[in-house]
Amino acid sequence: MSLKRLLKEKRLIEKELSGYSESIELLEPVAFENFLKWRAVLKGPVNTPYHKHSFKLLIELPSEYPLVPPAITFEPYSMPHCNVEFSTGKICLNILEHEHWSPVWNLMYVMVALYQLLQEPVVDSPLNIDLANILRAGDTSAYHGLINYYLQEDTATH
Amino acid sequence: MKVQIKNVNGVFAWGWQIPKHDQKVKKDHNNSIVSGSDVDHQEQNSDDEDDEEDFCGICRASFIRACPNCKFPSDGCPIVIGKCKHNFHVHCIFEWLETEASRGLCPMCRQVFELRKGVVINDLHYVTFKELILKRQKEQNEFEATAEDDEALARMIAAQEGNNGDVPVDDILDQDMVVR
Repeated sequence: MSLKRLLKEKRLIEKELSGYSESIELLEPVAFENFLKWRAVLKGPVNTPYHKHSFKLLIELPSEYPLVPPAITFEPYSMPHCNVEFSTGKICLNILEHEHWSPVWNLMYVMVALYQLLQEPVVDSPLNIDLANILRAGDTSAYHGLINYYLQEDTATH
Repeated sequence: MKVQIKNVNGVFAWGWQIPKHDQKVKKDHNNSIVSGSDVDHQEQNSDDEDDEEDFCGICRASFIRACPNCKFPSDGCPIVIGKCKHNFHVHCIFEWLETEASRGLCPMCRQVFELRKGVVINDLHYVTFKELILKRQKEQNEFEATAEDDEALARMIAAQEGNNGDVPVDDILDQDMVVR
């Protein structure tokens, strides 16, 4: 099931990606021979500390896809975000969980959802507890400062 | 001019006869006094809906084609009409409903997926689907029952322990913030 559908998705993405230039920089299979591994790059939304940064994502598709959700992570040590575990890039987003996933969704839809997660971090289900606490306390300058620190560190070391 | 027909080739196209869900609604509209533009608008809408219904939301293949696991469309790979107005290849929706995570719900609208009654193409599958959905609903009820038990247990434990040593995180954080 998965390969045929992924081929359809790829065709659709090639057609539609230009319409998402504000948010999705890249969404493609890692290699043409292997459609079960994809990579993506999300742009940081305006009016967030992520603006002017890009974020790499790794996408692994189980052979049962789309009956089960894709496994998506940010590149480890690249994404300081309430709902992302910094050291692994693991994402906490309910639509990516087995019991909340729906097979009518596709990779494009998930990318849009992740972009929205960058715009609206959810403090009630944090994987980065420090950031969530600061945000919950309403200390925006500390929040922005800490994210900027992480992001600059990231660009300096790479 | 004289035309002589030497040969005739018949070309056929086929499609599923998917019942229009909004037929009744439309009739009501026609009976009441509706301005011309409104009627046009309504028809436009239903056309769009038809386009959407032309492919299976799960495998994204058109209904006149087979699902990814089948070679031959039509009778070899039939479709079912949902009560909730969402249609799928039998194989695709059945595979989804067989997963426990589906909870027996339509992937489009999250309502319990039931086959629409009185549609010929549904008849063959009506019983199998009903049985599967019942199984999923039973699981779901059991799951919810255990979840309620767990909750009650957690409340009991919390009551016993009292709230000593349970300082809200925000307070600790606020104290730190003062130093800043």
